[in-house]
Amino acid sequence: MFRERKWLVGICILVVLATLAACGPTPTPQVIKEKETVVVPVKETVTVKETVVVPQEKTTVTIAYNQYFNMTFGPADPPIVAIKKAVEAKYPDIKVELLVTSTEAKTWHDMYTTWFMAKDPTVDILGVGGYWTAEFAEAGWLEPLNDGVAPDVDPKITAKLIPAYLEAHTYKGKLMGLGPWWGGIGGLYYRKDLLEKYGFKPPQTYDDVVTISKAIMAKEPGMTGWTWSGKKDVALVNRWFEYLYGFGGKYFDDAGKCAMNSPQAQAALEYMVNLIKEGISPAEVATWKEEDSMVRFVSGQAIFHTGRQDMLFWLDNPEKSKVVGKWGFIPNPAQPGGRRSGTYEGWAFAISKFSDSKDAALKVLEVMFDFPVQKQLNLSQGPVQAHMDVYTDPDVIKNNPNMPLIEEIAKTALAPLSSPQYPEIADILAEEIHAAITGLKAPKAALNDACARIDLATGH
Amino acid sequence: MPRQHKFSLAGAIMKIRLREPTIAFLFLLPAFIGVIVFYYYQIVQTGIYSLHNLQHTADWQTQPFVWFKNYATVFRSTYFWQSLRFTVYFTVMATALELAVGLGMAMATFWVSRWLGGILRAIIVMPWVIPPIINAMIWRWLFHADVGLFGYILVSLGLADKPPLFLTEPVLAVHSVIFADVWKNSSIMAIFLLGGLAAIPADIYDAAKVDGARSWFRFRKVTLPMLLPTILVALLFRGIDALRTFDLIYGLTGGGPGTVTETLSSFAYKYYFTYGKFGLGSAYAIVVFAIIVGLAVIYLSRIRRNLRFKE
Repeated sequence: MFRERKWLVGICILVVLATLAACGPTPTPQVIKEKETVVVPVKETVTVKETVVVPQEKTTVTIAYNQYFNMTFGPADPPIVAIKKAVEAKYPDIKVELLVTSTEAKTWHDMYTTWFMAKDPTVDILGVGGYWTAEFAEAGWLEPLNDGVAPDVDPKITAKLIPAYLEAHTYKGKLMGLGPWWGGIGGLYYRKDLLEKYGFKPPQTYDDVVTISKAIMAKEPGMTGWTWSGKKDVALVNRWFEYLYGFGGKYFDDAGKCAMNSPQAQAALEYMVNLIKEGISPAEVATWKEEDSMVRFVSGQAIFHTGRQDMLFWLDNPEKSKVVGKWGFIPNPAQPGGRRSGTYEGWAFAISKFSDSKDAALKVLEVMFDFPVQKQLNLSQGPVQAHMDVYTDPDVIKNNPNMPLIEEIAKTALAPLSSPQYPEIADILAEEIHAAITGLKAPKAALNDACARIDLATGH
Repeated sequence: MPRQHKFSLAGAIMKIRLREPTIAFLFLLPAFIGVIVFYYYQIVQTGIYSLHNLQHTADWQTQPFVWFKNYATVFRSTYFWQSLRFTVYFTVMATALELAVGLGMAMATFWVSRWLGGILRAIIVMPWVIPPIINAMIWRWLFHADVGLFGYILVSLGLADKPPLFLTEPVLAVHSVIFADVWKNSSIMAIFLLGGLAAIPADIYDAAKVDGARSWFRFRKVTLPMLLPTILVALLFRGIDALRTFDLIYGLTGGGPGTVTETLSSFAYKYYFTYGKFGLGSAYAIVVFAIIVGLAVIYLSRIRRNLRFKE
């Protein structure tokens, strides 16, 4: 037995020695150099000029965004095509490529985390949700665009972008991205025909919505009152913020502690829960993603619907909608003392701190937010864009006659909750608000739990 | 004249006489090194991360060493204990049902004609080859409150006034995700058991038939005891898999309603990738790893004791 082990040890040593030997330097023959000076007479010097044409090497700028960048829904090229053409015309030495990300925001965010952790230099420009800005900026993953250190964006470009949107993508005074290239602001869709039929004006307060819903539901059997997205998801959190501010609440107090368990916040959540208890919103809302939640309104079975402005551009299309010409879109209501609010969900573009082509990336970014490309983006994908001239452009208004409706909604835009811990805060809120609307927790308990967890996450 | 010995490496190697276990060890050595490098290194690294306060960085050498503070946070979290309870319940229920359904499918397809067996087995395997997230989408539509098939059937049969809220009513949500998991994974259980059934010698059945044993008796006294080692191994594999379940439930309920269907694995993922808290996320990962290894060790020791796998 011992003899065998000796053999085994011997073999192992041999393997290790062989490996070390293989990794070590290869022995080379010794070379002795001897110098010898030879004098050669120079007869004549002839200079021959030859022009060699070397093709200019292009710098590749990679943009990370989801598959919608490859699609168009209007009379214009898909966004990536429009950007490529504009960049090629202005900077022939830059080539733009698209790296397709997930369409699911959470998966998309987690892809970025992995890339940043790996300090990936190949991705130059990243599409970022407004609520990711603070997190990525705090982690030092984004390149500030106005800190006096190159690359800084040309002030002539930012002068034409809507200041409120620039503010939404600013963290601790530093502009971290330009946006939105496209986005959404929540508002209230309502059945204009039904409200007129029963003598109601568009609702101004949350109480109005309940009163109108009850009255019309009593006279129109099978009609749902109010639909919204209540699945445990970021869309639920966006809706919650609208109710929160609509009832006079706010995210944090002056000391930075969670204020979402204030009496106003409790009133807001109790209102949401009561909508379901009283049957104005069906219990199914707690299972609905955004696309599920709009189905009843679009098919003429709901009086009110809260959602982004996206629907404006196809609600009058008879192939997709049964409420053509029968609807209106106004800012979300608010209780006295509250603020009419629509959560702003804009998608910006930022330059990665780890990009190996930051200067070229900045040039592409500037092209993306100059008027010609911004107009193309609107025509292909709808609003909202950062460039203010887009909203008054005749081609844009001709293509989207409902564009003026967005101006009123934009005035109520609620800046995203700006915190480096936003993903954790959003998850906590989604869990606790969902627990309340599904009856697992009382509203007060859910909000107290939410705030305790948020304060722990933010270190307060 | 003395015989001259010329040294030859090949000859020397040929003369090495090793016992079978030693040769086996040498053959396994490369795989063993691979496992160490590709699996255990990461575990050690995760263990190191878990002792540091890492926020949006994995550079543990420059970040504060916090001893077991992250583990204290894990064990103080009421949500962690709640998800542990759910995960254990999910694992027990799902694996038990998968065993029952998988055994039924294996029995139904084993003693049929060869061509029919082939078709049936192909059908059986189909749910298993569907990616979990696609599976989750399919079930989300089947359970959908407005247009779901199950709700429609229940209302059509007069068993419910309106479609039940499969994914938001807590008891229904828990059992809906178990149901979806059973549908998907019973097939792999059946594949395991088909292998076990094929290994049972046919003459044992012949002898039992000669002795007058009827089919139910043969199942209890021949099939089940002979299949037991395969069943236990299949349960171990599926049990560990169920303890780590994440994608199916994430796609189906997102852990809701509230946190009712939150699984253990989701914690490590969320803290690590979504929140960028690599230290705390690593602590969650290590705790989940320890739980799974602990259960697997207990299970394996019981298998060994009960079945006496020795020669």
